[in-house]
Parts: sequence; C-alpha cells; structure tokens
Amino acid sequence: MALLPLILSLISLISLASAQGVRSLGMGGLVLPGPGAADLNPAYAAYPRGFSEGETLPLGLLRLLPLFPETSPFTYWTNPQAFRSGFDALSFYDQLGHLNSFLFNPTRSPDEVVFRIRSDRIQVTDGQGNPLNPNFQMGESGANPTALYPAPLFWLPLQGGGFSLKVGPFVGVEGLSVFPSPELAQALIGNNLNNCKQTPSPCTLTLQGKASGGVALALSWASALPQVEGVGGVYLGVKGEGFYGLFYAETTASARPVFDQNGQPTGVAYEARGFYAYPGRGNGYGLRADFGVALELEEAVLGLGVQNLLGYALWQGYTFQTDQSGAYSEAPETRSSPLFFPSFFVNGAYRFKDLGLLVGADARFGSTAFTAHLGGEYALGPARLRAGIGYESGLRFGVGAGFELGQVGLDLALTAHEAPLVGGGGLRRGHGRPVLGGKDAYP
Amino acid sequence: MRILKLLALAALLPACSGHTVYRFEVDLLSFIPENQRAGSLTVPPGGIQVLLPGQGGQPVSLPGAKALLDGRMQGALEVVNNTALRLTASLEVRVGPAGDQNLFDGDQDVRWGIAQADLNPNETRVIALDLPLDSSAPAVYTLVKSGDFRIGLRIGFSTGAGSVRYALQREDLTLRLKPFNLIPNP
Repeated sequence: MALLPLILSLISLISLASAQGVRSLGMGGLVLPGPGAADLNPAYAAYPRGFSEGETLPLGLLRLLPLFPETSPFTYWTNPQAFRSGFDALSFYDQLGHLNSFLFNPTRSPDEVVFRIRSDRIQVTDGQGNPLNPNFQMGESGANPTALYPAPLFWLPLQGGGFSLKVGPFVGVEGLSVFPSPELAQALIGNNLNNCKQTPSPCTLTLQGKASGGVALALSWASALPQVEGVGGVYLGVKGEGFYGLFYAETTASARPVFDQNGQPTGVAYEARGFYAYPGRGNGYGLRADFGVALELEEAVLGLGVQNLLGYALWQGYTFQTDQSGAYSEAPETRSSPLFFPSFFVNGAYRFKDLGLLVGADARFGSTAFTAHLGGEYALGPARLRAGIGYESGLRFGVGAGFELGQVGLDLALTAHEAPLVGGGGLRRGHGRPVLGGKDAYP
Repeated sequence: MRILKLLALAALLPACSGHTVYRFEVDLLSFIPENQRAGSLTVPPGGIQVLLPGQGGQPVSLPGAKALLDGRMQGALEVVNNTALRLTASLEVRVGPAGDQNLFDGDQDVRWGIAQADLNPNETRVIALDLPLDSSAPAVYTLVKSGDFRIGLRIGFSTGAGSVRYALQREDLTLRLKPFNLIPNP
C-alpha cells in the first residue's frame, strides 16, 4: 500500500493540465469565448454557446483501464508484474491531463538515461547520446499560498440560473518545477566540473512544488446587459469562491555534489524546506472574487476575465527544514496570501462569415504562469480544419480536423509540444501525437 | 520526512517507467591520478604488485543502487616486458564494503575477477578484463547493490630480473538500474 499516496499525488496532477478538448488542441490549445471558459471569465456563463465546444466525452478514461498497462495505475493491483515492466508515469500524466481525448501515443519516458561519470565531468544523455535537460515546469510553483487553488475536479450545482451556487472538491498540484543552476547546466552538457568544485558547490538541482486539496464553494452571477444601439451585446459576470483547505504542501528541495579536498566527488548533499498541513496538522481557508466582461461586436467577441481580483487565503500548518547533515526540524506556522494577486485572462474570436473561417487568440498572465494561443478553424461542408500555435512553458503546435455527424462531432488532432526532460528543441524534438475525441455537437 | 520522500519520488517518476533503465558509466581511470596510471618497475625476485588507487581502493557511492539490474567492469592494461625472463602479469579487480580500509587482505573484500598473461622477454601485450556483474558473482553483486562500496585494482608481476613498463588504459564500471524495481508488491 506504500504506493497509494503516490498514486493519489499523481492523480492530483490532473488539475495542472487544463481540460482542453480535442478541438482546442487542434488549434494549439486556444480557448474560445463561450461557457467552456466560464472558469476563467465568469461573464461567459451568460454568453450563448457562441464558439466554445459542446459537452465532450471523457474518452481518455478508457486508457486508465488495466487493458492499457502503460497508462493504467490500476494494473498495480491487477498485475503487479505487468505494472513494474509496463507502466509509464509520463504517459499516465499525459493522458490524465487530457481526459477528454484518447491519446494514440502519449509522451513516453526515455528507455535509457545514461550518466557518464568522469572525475572532471558528468554527462547525462538518453540512450542515443542526446543530452537530457533536467529542467521542466508546470504551473506556478512559487512560494506562499494564494486563493487561486486548483480548479475543482467537478462541481455539484446547488442552484442554477443567473445566480448559481455550486460546491466541489479540489485536489491538485498548482505547480511543479525542476531546474538546474546555471553552473550545473553547463557541467551537464559535458563541460568541466571544476566550477562545481567549491564548498558548498554552486551546482545544484532544485525541485519546487506546491499542491493543495479541499472543498470549494462558488456563488456566481452572470447576465447580459440591456442591448445598447451600435455596441452589440455586453455580458458581465462576477463570482465569489471560498474554500476550506484540508491538504497543503509546498517544498523547495535542492541537491548538490560534495567534493573532497582532492576535488573528487564523494557524495550528494540534500537540503529541503517547506510548509505543510493536513487534517490533524493544520488546515486553511480562503475567499476570492473573480470578475469578467465580454463584448460582442457583430462577428467578433472579446473577453476579459480577472481571477482572484481580490483574495485572501490563510493556512495553518508546519514549516519544515532539513539541513545538509540530514537533521530534520519543524515548527508551527501560519501563512497567508497577499490580498491583491490577480490572474488575467483575455481572449477573443472573429468569424469571417463569407469565408467560413474562425480565428481566435487568448492569453493568461499575472499571478499564474504565462500562456498564450493563436488558432483558427475553417469550415468545409461537414468538415472542420484547424491549426494553431501556443505557448505553455514551451512552444506547442496543433493541427486538427473535425466532422459533424448529426448530433455528434468527432475530432482528431495532432499536437506537437516540448516533452519534459527530452524536450527543449522545438518541433523537431517535440512530441507529435494524434488524439481522438467525441462530443455531442458543434454549436 | 515522509512527505518529502513522496515529493522526491513523484518528481523522479515523471522521467520513469517500467521500461526506463538508468545506466551509470563510471570512468574509474579518470579518478586515478595520472602519474599512477602508468609506470616502470624493477621486478625483484618473488614478484611485485601495484595497488590502484591505493590499498583502500576508490569509494563509490550510488544512491538507489537497490534497483540494480546488472552491470559490467571492463579493464585493459598494457605491459612491456623488459626483463630477461618470461614474466606473468595479472590484473585483478577487488570489491569491498565502504568501511574496508584494505581491499587486498581478504577481510570483507572479495575478488571480482582476474586476468593474466605470460610475456616473453621484450614482448608487449594488453591484458583485457571484461567482468559481468550478475548472479554469477553473488558476493560482488550484493556489495554493489548496497550502494556504498570500494573498488580497487591489483597489478601483479611474477618473479623476474629487470624492469617492466605498464600502463592502465581502461577501467570502466557500468551499472544498470531500474528504479521501478523499488516499487513493492501491493
């Protein structure tokens, strides 16, 4: 059962990858105006279905069946041997982050990681001699809690309509990053280790992570304002969200080599510090206000959403620290967020009616990691052709096709993005894959 | 502490799968000071031996070695026999626990393997060693799997009269680890 908490923490990564549909992936990850983006801009809750997708089928769940040992953690219980030889954590993360689609070839871990160690240099490569880059980032892992907790896994509506009240559990990693210090990055591409031979060594590998879990309650209101001549439709939305937090963990851990007086490596020293809370050892709560506005001008829609316009979060827990000798110490502490720590989301779309072309762009910035996308969709009879480019801690590209079959739409997308660890070289080293998705209908 | 361990594991695992093998290729030759890798000796009656890099060997510390699959050790020694007699030269690899200060006394330490060759006067030969690390050498396997061990070389020359030249050309230790083997049964 030692693996259970591990699997739980893996599952919590689900919230890192936004629930992008296959249509969005085909446009490089573009988020179109519509109810599907109501989490990012509350005004869209009142915006007619416009451009965003219909309900999608969670085809990705199929891959969690033990039928697919490379992505199913449940194989651990049904067939431990198959799990140990076949499970691929990277593929699992990848599929889990895209439950709306079935990935034909999820990102694959390298078959071999080779450490070539000499007294004066260390080189890390994959089996083919390409250097591996131990540098990846997902989400924002900076220290201190914020009221921007991970999006709930699902919402239970308590009351619908213009005013809506809903409740949902959330658990997720807000960010996870691993990065080498510049000195280590230099040393790892095969350069001399001499720069590292100091005490303490400047060559460090640092891991930062932040995760939380709890229950969230959201009260939101969105409505169309009375039509004004010459302006088009204006939609407004506000949302108040509160949470009661059960779990919180944030940690910064670093490893550095230790050399003896002759300059020979003798081991690795670890240091870690962080903050945690779990039932019986602290808890947290918070409130935040989101605001959104959307503007409809003939064939164009523009939206601005502000998450955490005003927010406050407080966690009571324990700070911990281990020093180089491995001594562990902890002390109770209360941590709170800044009051003003907003995250902005802007997006827009324009429909060239005569051409059957839809183009859109979005960007998210502020207290969350910067992302941006630009994409388009071309209608050709019942078929849709798509392409787009995006930036999500690395460039990504997407092309896709869709077919309207009565009430059901079928989507295929081929995306290329930088895979963690083996990535870093753009499209060539990027990872291309087809995905398949189904949804109820096009708007 | 547990949380810390968990986070470290979670971070390690994204790069990992049931088919991912971590291969450590340690160039042990580079850890031996250059002036000790080659030399010239006068062989006295009764023979002589050279211990590299010294009696205590080279300490090797490998975190996660419990996931050891297999490995191998490859060595090569060039010998020039300048004595007037036929000479037997040998290259031996020994392994001992981290705390063993003398790898060559048979106390806690074990022989991994040995290669030897006979050289006529004025003959030059390369003595090569290629030792697998698997169940065929259980004592060595256990020591390496402990993650903290010492490894040392002994170059030996049988009795002779005159000088020999030797040069260690290669000492590569390769270890293959599969981290998924650390996952216990449910």
